[in-house]
Amino acid sequence: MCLSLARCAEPASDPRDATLRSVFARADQSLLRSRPSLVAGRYARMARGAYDFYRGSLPLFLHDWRDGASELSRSRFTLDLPQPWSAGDPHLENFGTLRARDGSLALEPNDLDGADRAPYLWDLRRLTVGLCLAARLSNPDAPEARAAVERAIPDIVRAAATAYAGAIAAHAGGAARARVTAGGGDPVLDDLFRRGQRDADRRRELSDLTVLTGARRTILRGAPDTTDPESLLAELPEAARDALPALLSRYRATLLAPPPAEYFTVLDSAREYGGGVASWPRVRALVLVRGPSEAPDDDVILEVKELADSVVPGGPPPSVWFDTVPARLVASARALWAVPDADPLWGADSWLGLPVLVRTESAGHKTIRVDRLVATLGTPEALTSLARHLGALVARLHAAPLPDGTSVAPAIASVVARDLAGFAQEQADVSDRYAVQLLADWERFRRALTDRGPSLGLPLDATDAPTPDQRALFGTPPAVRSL
Amino acid sequence: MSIRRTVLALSLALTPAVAVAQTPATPEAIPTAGPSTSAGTTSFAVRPGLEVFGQYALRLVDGSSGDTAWFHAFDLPRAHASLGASYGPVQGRFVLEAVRSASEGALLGVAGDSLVLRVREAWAGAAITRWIELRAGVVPTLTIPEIEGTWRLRAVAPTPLEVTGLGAPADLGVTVRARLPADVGWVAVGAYNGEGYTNRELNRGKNFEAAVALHFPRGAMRPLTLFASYVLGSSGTGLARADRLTGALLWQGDRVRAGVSVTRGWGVDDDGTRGALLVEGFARIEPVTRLLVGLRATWWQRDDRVDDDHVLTLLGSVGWRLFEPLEVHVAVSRQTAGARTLAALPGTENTELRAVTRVVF
Repeated sequence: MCLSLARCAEPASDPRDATLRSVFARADQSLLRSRPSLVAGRYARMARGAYDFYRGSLPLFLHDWRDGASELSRSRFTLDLPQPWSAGDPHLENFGTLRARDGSLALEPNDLDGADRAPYLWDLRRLTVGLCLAARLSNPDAPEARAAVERAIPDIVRAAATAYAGAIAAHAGGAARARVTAGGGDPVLDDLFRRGQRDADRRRELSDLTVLTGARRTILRGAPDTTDPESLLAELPEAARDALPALLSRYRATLLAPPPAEYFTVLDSAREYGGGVASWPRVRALVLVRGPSEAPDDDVILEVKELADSVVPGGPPPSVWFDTVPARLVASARALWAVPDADPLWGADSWLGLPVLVRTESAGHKTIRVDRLVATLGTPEALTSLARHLGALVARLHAAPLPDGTSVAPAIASVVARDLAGFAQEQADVSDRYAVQLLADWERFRRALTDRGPSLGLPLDATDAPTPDQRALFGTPPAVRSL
Repeated sequence: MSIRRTVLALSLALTPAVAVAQTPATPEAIPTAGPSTSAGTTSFAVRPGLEVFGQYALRLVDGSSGDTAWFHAFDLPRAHASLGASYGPVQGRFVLEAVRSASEGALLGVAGDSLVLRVREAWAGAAITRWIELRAGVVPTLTIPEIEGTWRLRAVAPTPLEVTGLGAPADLGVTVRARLPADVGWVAVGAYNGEGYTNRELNRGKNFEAAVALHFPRGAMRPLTLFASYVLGSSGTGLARADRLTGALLWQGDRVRAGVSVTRGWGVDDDGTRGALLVEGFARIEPVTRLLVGLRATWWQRDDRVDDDHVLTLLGSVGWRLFEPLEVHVAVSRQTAGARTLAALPGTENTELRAVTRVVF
């Protein structure tokens, strides 16, 4: 018999179940209350794949980082201050090609929604845990190949950590922050650049996402890819459409070398559903603009994406480094990328009161995908090589000069140099153990969704319903298959 | 005296009390609907109040590599505006507090990161008998107010129980307090949502708190108070255990107020398996009239499963009561942390120098 109402109402089957549910409900509370169907879509994506769960579970990562009993932030190589520029969430699916003004592609972090300042180990471990997970999820239809990759996990992580250590030492010594413009023999990156260049040359985003009627191009509606009904383009409400020219005018001012104002003449726009994982519930739109000329062949598609606060461990007071969320996104991109305009149309402002990122929607912008790590792209050697490249790239991000012109690279290099082999081994040990825990957490999450429903047990209240205008903007997302 | 007169005059001017006998007689009652809200429409006296802390703080943060970061800012640690009312055994109190609209580390707030007002207390109460008092609404909880009320230097620093998140000073719920015979103290119980006054309820479980404060009925040792409380609680949608046991030995004298308190927590930060320990020793001394000296040492074991996950805070302050409602304080604190804490919470090791003013009406 229950002695009190304190805990008997909804007993959790194990303490980690309770922690997991509470962490997600707290982190997503405002979204769950205001746009539950969009959060349900995100949770369904997370339930469907372990790597998607990793992408969408940054608040859990932060919780564990702050948990003294978790080894996630434990290290013999801690450096709490100074804090370098951080990509916020540099797991491998947040790297990809970006097309610069001259048309060349470069490998860069392409999702900087959480970019901020953070301890260097935060970024490195987001990467190495992601590598461990990717290795365990590679070659889903070839158990032997996957087993070979799993056996190589320590080597893969050591390669990332060693490359990081080497690169940060080089940057501390004055090495330039080089742009990665080719795969350099790395199977995954070669494939990425090849596909990126092919589709960029063809302007494939125009053929995939728009229709040309006479001389007028418009964004299509419905599912651009009929085999992927969860990605959908729909009408934007009138108020949102009307606010786009003003947004683009303000956003234009945040660009380093803004094209003429006519470039951003809005030709069409559509509500976009189905992008990202963590950002799945956020408002997204595609905007077709005139581009360099009236000709429909050089029309340009921009993506407008709602932003939120970063999820990082925090630092010394005032604990924030930027004035606004859009300012954080713009400043971080310019600092982290090898050239400040790796995407020349990357800017940010606010739209309908929401902080938003505006960036190029280009088929040349390819992202590393875990589900492509099969066959020749999923060998131990391929993943080790990829780990080496990304480890060095994260070091390059951390070597970016701070606003005062100083660099954190020497401080990091000094800490890491105490024991290079020990540093690499520590990352291998901690990262794979956490990846294993993450897979168990994924199962817990799936169970919680089944048992508690898409609100994870958060009591919803009808008074939290959005206003009609907000409801129109949030729209009706496509159904997402979950388990 | 002139200040006192001014305060008195101001209080009278602000008090919207009109004696019933002085209410002009209505020659003929006109049928009308009542006001849409009833506050302020009765003839009962209400009492406004105000407490404001203004602060300048300089914080020097020590990095593990030897680097130091610093930051300084003017701040408003507290701005409370209250209305209290009582009539016979019935009373009510409403307290608004100013707070930054974005939580620490966030950029998204209300109109930037404006100071906004939120409800800190809003309760209706009644003395059911001479011995028992009941309150319901957003009520002060039982443990933090007792310890903070002994410390009485909230302007210098909030109680560690609040800072560490192990407890909340107020919550939505109900409390019942009974005075013990011979004036030897009180016992009380409370039932709350359990998420504190700053958060919505996230589960069907409710927190229960029981507390007792005992002191001598008379004599020189009367200020000595033995306090104990237990919170049987839960937090989050996962209904994680969040129990707290607090024991304290307090000295609630006029010129000397001091205490030692120990709080053991079972279930912290939505993790029912995590334990925490908080030990605090403090003293507030008024060696000469108007001179206020504060000393406090706090040991916080964030996680009892980990040796080096702890924070030690030492604090000293000197203050002067310029006038009855106005105090100024200078405070210095030094915080050190275990290696595990530093990795998990960057910036925990720091030294802080603060100048604080407090005004209360």
